[in-house]
Amino acid sequence: MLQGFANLVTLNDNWDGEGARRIDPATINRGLAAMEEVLPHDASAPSIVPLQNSGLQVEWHRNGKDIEIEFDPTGSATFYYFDAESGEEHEGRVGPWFATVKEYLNRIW
Amino acid sequence: MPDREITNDPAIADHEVLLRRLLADWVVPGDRGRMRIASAAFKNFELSILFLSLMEQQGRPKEHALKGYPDSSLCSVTAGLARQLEQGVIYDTEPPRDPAHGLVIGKKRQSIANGFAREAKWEIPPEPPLVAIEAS
Repeated sequence: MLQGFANLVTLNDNWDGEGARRIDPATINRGLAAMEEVLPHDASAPSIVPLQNSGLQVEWHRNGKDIEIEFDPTGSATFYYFDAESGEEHEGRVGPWFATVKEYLNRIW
Repeated sequence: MPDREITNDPAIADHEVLLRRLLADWVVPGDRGRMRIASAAFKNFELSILFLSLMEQQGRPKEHALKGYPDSSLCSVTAGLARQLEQGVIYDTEPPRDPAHGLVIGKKRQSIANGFAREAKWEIPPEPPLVAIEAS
């Protein structure tokens, strides 16, 4: 997982070939800090994905369920949950202490 | 701040195929042994695509969409899907743009970007790659 965050640091301006700016360093730090908060010790590592708005998202896809947390360079963070079997889908702002996200993460382990 | 305007060209048929280039960073491990498309590939307000029909009219194979991007993959969605997901679709072919270039315009919440990612069809390669097993 740490390698995934480190890879973001290596991306230069126009990393996408469409003019995106490099990933915001403060946003990378926020994402890292959040992982310390939300990840159980036995959790599988998420994918760390760059966004064209200079933000990033972390995501898990497991047992037919998807969870994403998006970190925006403006400082906001949002989550998305989808269960392919039931069609259950939720999205919204990440609340204090990531309580909602932790609840959904518990569903995929 | 008001949302930016969403424009749409109604002359573009719903069945039009829109090609979207996938950076290697936007192809992530899925949960059935196959890689999957990350929703990050579909989050820009103005999403760059190429119209397959224009490329064919120009005598260009879809492989041309990856020219200069050897590590990228290619997927497609339809204009109809974009409209179902509250987006507009327009041509954007004026130089220096590619003559087959277009835009899928609109705010893309995570549910919308994931809708694109789930419904997108793999073009190059034609199937999602297998997840690489890391050596221990």
